[in-house]
Amino acid sequence: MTAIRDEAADTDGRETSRARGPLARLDARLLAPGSAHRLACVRTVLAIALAVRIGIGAWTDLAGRPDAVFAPVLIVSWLPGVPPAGVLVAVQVVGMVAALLAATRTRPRATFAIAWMALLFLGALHGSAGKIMHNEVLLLLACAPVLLAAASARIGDRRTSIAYGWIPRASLAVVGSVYFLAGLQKVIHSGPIWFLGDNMSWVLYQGADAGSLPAAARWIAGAPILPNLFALGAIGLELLAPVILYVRRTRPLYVLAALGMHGSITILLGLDYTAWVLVVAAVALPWDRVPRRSGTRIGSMEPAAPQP
Amino acid sequence: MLGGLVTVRATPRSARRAHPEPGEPDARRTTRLARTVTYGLCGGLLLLGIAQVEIWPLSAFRLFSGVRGPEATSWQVVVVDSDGSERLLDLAGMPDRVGLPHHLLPRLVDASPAVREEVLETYVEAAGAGTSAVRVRVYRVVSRTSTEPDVANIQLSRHVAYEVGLP
Repeated sequence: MTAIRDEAADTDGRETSRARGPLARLDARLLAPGSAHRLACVRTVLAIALAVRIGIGAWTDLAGRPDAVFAPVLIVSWLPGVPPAGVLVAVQVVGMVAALLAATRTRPRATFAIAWMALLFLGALHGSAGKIMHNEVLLLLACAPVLLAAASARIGDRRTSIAYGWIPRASLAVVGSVYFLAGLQKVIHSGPIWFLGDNMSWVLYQGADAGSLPAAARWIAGAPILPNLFALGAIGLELLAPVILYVRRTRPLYVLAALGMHGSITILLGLDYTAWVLVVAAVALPWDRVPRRSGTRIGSMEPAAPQP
Repeated sequence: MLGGLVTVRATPRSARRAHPEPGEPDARRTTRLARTVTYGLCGGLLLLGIAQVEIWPLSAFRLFSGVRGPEATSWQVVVVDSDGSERLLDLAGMPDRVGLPHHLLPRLVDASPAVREEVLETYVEAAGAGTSAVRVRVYRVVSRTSTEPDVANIQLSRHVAYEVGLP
């Protein structure tokens, strides 16, 4: 049986990454040709994530916020106050429709940008409450490179180019940087005591009542070693993110680990980080391994082509 | 070739390539854009993070970065009626439109009296508790966290952080 391997569809830059030095290899991998298929998959999943976040947000609850308690973040500091409910609903509807259109590849560049700006605006208003809100931040940052993606990329599209390749890698790099930074802050502000001491126990005790399983949160908090393992797992996942996400084979494991970490935070502490899981899935799942309509995979074994 | 795994191109590279070869003008532009966006975003995030600067959505990502202990600080807002009696406002039950009182109240310690008055009047109004109130008092409370579900936290200290009169 003859099998054909599509050289040019090595969509993660392995062929071109044998450059000199780690930084040169990193640069070569960023700039290696990648498939339009992967770009389209990443854009589609991020667009779905935008639609979900814009759609489920209780944005109209922000309407009527008195000016006295409106502490605007920089990008909405030009507003005198939170706009009325009608404006918020209009932004929400336009943003959600645009996100769904982007997911279905209808004028994807423009519709993706509209959806992104809608969430940026609504998220900024939500975060203008006296505390930095991180719920939508990773999604917005990971989407930023995708705003520049070529409209022509579509799922199943086997063409490869630098222009298709760098954007998903840029989003991946942003996600890795964000997780690493979150871990680094724990090292800077707390050090090893963050996971060696009883810090996680008190996080769980103090947040238990906000979660959906307060008894489980208290049980974990009071169990020996278990809270330390939770803490070690969290900080390890964050600090090692750039390495785990750099190695293509370990990326799916990171999706599972992020699901476990953010899922447990949602259940035990009641903090909603579903957008973060969607983002990690969007940028880290091996989309080139997903069967295309023809039943084959990009970057892998191709069916035999008629030989001349 | 039968029985073997061979590496051949399924289609001519030129037929699949959507953009020019490296070195051509468009490729150079794409390369420059890719580096600017990727290294700019990642480098900017790390620099702002190390400098502890928050320019939402660019964040320092200080997520649970401090060490928690058994003691926790909270804030209470009470309205004081003309007879001196105090009524506690339910900050957790306030509508979303008033924002996050627990995060805003500590910041009012250093705010001007006018700003404090404006914010606290907003909370009183949102709670519907202002009809007979003459003053609003804000307490800073330090408690020891209970580890048992049915046992309340033990209050260690409670003192007035600031208060304002109502018109």
